[in-house]
Amino acid sequence: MTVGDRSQFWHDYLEMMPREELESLQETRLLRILHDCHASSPLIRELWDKAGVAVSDIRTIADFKARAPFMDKDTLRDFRDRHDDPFAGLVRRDDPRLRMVSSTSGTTGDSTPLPHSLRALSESAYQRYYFSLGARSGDYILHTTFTFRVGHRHTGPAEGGLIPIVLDHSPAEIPRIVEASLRFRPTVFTTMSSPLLSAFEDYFETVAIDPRDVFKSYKVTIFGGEALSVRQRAIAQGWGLELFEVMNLGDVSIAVECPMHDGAHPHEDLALIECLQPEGSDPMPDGAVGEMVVTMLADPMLPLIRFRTDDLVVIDRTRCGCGRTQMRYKMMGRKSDQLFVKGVQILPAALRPLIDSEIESRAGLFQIIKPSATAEVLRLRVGHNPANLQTSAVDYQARLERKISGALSVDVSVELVSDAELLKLGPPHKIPRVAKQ
Amino acid sequence: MTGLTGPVIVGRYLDHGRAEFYPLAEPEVQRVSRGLERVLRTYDLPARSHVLVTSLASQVAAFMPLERALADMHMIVSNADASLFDVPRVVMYVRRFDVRAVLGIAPAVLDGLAAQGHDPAALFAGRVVWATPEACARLAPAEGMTLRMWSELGPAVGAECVHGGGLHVSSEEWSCTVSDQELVLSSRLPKLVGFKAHRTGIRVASMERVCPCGNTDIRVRIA
Repeated sequence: MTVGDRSQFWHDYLEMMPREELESLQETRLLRILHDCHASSPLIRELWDKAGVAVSDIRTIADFKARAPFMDKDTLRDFRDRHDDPFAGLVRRDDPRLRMVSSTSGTTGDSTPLPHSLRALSESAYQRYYFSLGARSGDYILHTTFTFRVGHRHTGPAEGGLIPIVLDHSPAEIPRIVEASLRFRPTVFTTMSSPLLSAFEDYFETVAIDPRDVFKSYKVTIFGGEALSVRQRAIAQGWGLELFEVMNLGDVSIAVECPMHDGAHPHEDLALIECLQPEGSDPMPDGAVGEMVVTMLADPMLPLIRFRTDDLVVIDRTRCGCGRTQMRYKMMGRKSDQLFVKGVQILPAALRPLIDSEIESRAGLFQIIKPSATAEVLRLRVGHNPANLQTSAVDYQARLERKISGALSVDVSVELVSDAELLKLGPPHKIPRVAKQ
Repeated sequence: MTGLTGPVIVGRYLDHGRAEFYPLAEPEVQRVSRGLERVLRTYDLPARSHVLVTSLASQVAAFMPLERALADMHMIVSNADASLFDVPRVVMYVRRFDVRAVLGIAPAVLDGLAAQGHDPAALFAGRVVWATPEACARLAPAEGMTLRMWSELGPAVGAECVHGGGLHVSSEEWSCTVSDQELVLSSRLPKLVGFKAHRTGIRVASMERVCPCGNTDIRVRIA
């Protein structure tokens, strides 16, 4: 499908406004939300008071970037523990606007609470993406998300007149997904994950069903949970599915790829995004790897203000081929997932194609063993399907060690376990990519 | 003319264990929501109480109306999957927040709690707990919680009020009869998928109309 087929946006002006106007809009929203958050969030008040910054000191985005203090998940945990406040000071329990509390996945530690007003920002954000990718009122969408942190609300699709067919995110549900696809002919599949795609691969190898027929109505397949590999995109393409990656926008909202597949577009009218030195506060130029720092511009119930996300990204603010003037970014990995082996930086994304390109480990399940920030040897726990072993497990282990070592120029030690064993580490849509032991 | 427009959601109901697609129109969701709200109000939960809902995505036909009711009652709502994997989130919400009610507890949640060394009696003490019939049976020996039953009944949904003694099923939505001790449902109002004398496979011990809570929705006691 060409970009031209999908050139209509849910908000044409917002998606394509000149960047100067976008920045002016951001500034207006920023100044407004800062006043609100300072008044309603004990955490923001404490942080800013401690930093000696008054909201009245901030008159422009430049002021904000120069003076506003940072926060991260540890800031939230610290406030929560010191004040015995489950909301981590983000909101007051008695704020009448507070209607819902969701939480992060807890992949990097214990879950962080995310308070919301009557609806989460991501609900409307999804609808913007569905529309821009071609879904229209009356279309069915196959909805099999791996967690439903904001419940059975489906307000985003309702805004767009889309009809969700809701199924569990489980390999056991695949026959039902196939049945729903053939019966209702949905145009959107949300969300495909690594384990589900792998389960589809196994399924289609054992049944006399043509995946291209099953999936022929889909215009959009949202892929999430973790980074999409080249192999996965190719497999889906072979079934007639075009995958669009969804990424977390620092727990403020989400960002989804456009048909150019050159990064995900966040909604910059809803969040101010900075890309900074991972260990500092200087801005990184577009095209260079930095840590994403986000500021909520839309919902004062979730006052993540200058929130260091731990996500390493590369940002591009040039006009996109899809027509958007809003930025796009590529996710490079988590800062806390980095391991330095004899000075060489290792991130899960670099390992994925080396592992999932082997038939034995095509599910791409593996963990980096990281007892500390540096190591002499790269230790990996790699999943495999014993039924796919071409020789012995010992031979495969040695072959994999040689391959990864050759590609990354570090010593490698692989512990081979079954895919099933690693999947137990769930949640179902992904496994922790880094383990202490 | 049924007055129904198209579906707003396609969920599923279980027909003798087999999942069948279940499209619902907006008026259906609203009616089920009102029926559940009548039951929820008997617990006298103050507005802005924190309520945790545990469910599976596929149970949307039952839980979307429930969450609408909670929103209309101005509750603060959190969600967790009713699965082994999401037990840490259940524990986190209940322990950290002043959760007054936990709705939708299923056997998988109890299995997950046991596997991770949590005692549900201690975790849920002092709270309203709606549990499926099987989970209810497992929790019954525990004391200190207001344990009541909640269940999908084929295409219908039933929940016990604070007085217990059977699952209230919306009498606007369903005509309930018993045949050979089996619950038989017929839809009373227009639905996208209508049911006529639908045998649910669910064994019924008794049915009563009058309830101390003042709700005239029929009460179905599962055998």
